[in-house]
Amino acid sequence: MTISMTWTKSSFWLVTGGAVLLSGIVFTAIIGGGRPNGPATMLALSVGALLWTGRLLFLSAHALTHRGALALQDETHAASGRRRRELEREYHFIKRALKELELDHAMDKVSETDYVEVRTRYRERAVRILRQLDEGTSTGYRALIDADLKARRQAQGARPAMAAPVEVTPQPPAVGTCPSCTLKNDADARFCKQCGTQLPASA
Amino acid sequence: MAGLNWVALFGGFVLLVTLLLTTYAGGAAVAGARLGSARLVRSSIYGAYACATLLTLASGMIFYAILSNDFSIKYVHHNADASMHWIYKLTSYWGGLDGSMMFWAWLLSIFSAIAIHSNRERHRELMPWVVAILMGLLTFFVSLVVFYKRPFDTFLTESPLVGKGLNPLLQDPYMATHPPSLYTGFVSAAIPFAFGMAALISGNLDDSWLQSVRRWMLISWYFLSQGLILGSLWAYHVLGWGGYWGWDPVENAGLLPWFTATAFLHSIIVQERRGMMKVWNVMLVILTFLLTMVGTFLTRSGIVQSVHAFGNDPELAARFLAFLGFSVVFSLGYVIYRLPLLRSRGVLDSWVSREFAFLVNNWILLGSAFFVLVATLFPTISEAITGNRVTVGAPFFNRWMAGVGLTLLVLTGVGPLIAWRSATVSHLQKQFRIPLVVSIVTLLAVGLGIPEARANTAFLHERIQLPVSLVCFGLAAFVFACIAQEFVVGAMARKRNTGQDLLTSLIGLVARNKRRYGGYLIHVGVGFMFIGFAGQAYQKESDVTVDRGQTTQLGRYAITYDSHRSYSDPQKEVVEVSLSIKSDGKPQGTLRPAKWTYRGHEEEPPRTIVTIKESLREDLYIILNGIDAESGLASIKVIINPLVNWVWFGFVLLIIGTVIVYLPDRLLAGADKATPAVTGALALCLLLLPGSASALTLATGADSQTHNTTVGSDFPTAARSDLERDLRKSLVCMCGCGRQTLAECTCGFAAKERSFIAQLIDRGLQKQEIIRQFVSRYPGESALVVPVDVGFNRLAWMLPLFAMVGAAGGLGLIARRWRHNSQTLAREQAPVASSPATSPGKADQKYMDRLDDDLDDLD
Repeated sequence: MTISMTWTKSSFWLVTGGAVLLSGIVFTAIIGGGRPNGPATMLALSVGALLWTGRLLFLSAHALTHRGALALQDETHAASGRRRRELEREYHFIKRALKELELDHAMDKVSETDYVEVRTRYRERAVRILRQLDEGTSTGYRALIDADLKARRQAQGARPAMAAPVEVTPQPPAVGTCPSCTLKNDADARFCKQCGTQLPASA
Repeated sequence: MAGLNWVALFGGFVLLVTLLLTTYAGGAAVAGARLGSARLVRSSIYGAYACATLLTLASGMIFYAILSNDFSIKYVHHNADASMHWIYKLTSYWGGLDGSMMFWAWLLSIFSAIAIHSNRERHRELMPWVVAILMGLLTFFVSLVVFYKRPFDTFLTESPLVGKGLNPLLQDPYMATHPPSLYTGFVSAAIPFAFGMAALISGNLDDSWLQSVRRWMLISWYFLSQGLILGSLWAYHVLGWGGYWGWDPVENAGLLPWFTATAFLHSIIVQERRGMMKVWNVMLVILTFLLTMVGTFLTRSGIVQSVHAFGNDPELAARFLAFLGFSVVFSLGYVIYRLPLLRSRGVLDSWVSREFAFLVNNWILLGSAFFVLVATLFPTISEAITGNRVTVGAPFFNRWMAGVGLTLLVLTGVGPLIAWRSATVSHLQKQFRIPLVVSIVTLLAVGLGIPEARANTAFLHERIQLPVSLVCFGLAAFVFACIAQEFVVGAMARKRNTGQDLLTSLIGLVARNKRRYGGYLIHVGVGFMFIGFAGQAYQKESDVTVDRGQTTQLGRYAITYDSHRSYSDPQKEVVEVSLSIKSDGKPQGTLRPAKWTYRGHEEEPPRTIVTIKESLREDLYIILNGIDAESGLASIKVIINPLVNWVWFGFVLLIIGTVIVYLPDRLLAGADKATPAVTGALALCLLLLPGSASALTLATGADSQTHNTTVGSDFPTAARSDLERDLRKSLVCMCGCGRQTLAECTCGFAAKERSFIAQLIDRGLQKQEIIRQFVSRYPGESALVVPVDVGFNRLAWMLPLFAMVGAAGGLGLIARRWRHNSQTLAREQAPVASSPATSPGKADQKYMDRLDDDLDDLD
């Protein structure tokens, strides 16, 4: 859907632009006797809004009848992309937080013990994310996505997945791993940040 | 004349279709979320986009009707006329009640489309609910313009040939930009609310949604600030009562969500950093939205009296109140339902820590919002309960808000310096040594050097008189020193790490920590604003009646009345006086204050054209009260407003700070690598940003020293004694123009009232007797600026006190609980700390190295 629509979207912008220009000329001729004026401009812009309304209403209706394998593909594609982006974003965020912490430390705003403790925590989290990103191509977050999709489908009460080839090998639950959604949380987390399940006590 | 108006018909039809579509999109989104149907959700998203284009189309129709002078449409007739400049014609779209509701819906639909589009992949699980909430809101506003406040209504019979035109006071550049700013601020607060509610409903309550919401809240906060400042500029330059902030209910309506948005922007940092205050942040998002609705409600219901309320409409008030009530129950209900998921373990390691400073900041901001809300509504509450409508005027607000404002100012400086978690005594000494010295030196220098700055103002109660302004100057200096120290220490730390020179390090520092240093710049801006507010304490004013050739003196200015003239143009009649100004004996040019009477608006009081001689030190502000056609005697009001421009300058800094926070990372990525010339140019561009000028105001009640040159005529305008001036300041002008005092209001009614007071004085009556006589002519004590401190009114005086004590108590309780958490945590963690689990494995070393590389890249 999104891929096939890209072309039509840009061409639709062209069509809209053309229609606005053309109607602008026509309205200017009729209303202002050839002189550009406010009312004609407004009408021409309204034509553009009208065209886009038509397109969006069509898409809204079309989305309802849009079914089959493509939809599922879309979803898988989006889900993996989403997970990856989420991880990257979190990684970026941790990098910033680490930098800020270093600055705070350099400016003598955190005590030495605090600095070491928080920095260790941040770094551990960053390493965990890097590993997940790396494993993404093989098992790591691939498995996460499948689990995610499966959970979603179960929640929908829909038919079982068309194919679930990747068997998630049960690993010994690492500290902070959520028993329900398998997301890895901070070592000291008490609840899963994804689904809110209470985590088994660490240590 | 009769016959169909196709534009109106089509416009009305489009609105109807929009209503159907918002209902469908909202319904489809909820159904999609409940049934887990991606198709329904996708359809609802496109539906939401289509609502935006439909409302754009309807807006296009309104614009078309206004621009083509289609006066058969009632709304166009009431708010526009053919002779208006086209820009003001466009602004008349939101100049009236019906149009402003539609404008609101239009903005909401566009913001919704943008927010949905930019987050549809990132927050897939939230999206259906976001769409549902936004469409629900939109349905409410669109239903108002479809069924109740119809902007496309036409005249059934003969339609008029000319329009009534927009109120002349509103045909002004500030007024063209002030409402859209404020609306943008109000409406964009709905986006964080939708995300917050979506997170609550779907149960996805991790921190990720807050990230997206932060940017929208910053937009909302910025536009609220801009709207408030533009409103102040308008009041100062156009309304002509000599000030810029009068605690008018409509001003307060914009200030309320500003308080909570500011609180949110601060407490979100704590959640990011420490994972605390989750419930609190959700609450602030919800509160901000609810307060924007309250603000909209206040301005349109007619339940408060104000300069620019949209009029009295009990039916609309009832609908709004019902919607507001539903929103409160719905949103707070969900917060309570989701409390178990939201509960985060707040840990406060020390009372002296940045977390605690943020906590105090939040309580004060929220307390201010509560206080302003209650004081704004107090006249209505008191009328409902005792039957007497009292007036809660600016002096009341100023007395209370001065203390609150100063506390916030202190935090503006202290917050950035104090350490997270726990600050030690030696750390505090080191951090605050320089700022404290700077502050004390400034205090002494200003106090000894500028005797006026020592002026006392009422603090909390009339009887407590303190040199609030002087304290304010000292605290502002403290803030500047704190922030400057942050910049210098940070740049030096970076210099050590990177080996660059100090300037490059400084630029790199700001570019790498945009949020932090942009935020600090905003703090400096706030400090400048406070300097401006403090200047109000030694404002000087004088009402004089002068004859041609005569000179009047105020402060260092000598004002000579040279001549007067009157002329007219197609739009208005003008009466103007020419005054030549000398300051300290040096000629400073001529000022020409005037009165404009617009054609078609003869029944309204003429518009006062303010003239201002501006400087950083003070503004010489002159308005023409009136002119005697026969004798040529002119009555003018001269005000010296110290330091006003610092408020506007502070706002320019606020803009620059916000822009820095908002700049995309990559734009600044190479800032410190570019040559100084390029960065200099960049900085200059930032400085030159359109600096039009938020206002948490300290505008302390003017303790003015006036100087009169009265020319024994019977002009009522000049106050002849301190008693008369006092009386004018403590009595409200009941002309309906708002809640201005008799000293400020420029209308004809006020002139009569002033002469009535003069008569009473001439009869030899005492102050209390005069007040009694005066007040007795109106119901209750509504003619008094500040409610008398007896009976039910005492509540107005007590409530802020209760709120403050209650807030302090609540703050203490939360902090104690967090402290307790911290102690139990310390006990629990003691054995864990020694476990070897933290040592990284061999495989991790690879990632550690990569992290280090990435971190170096970030420099």
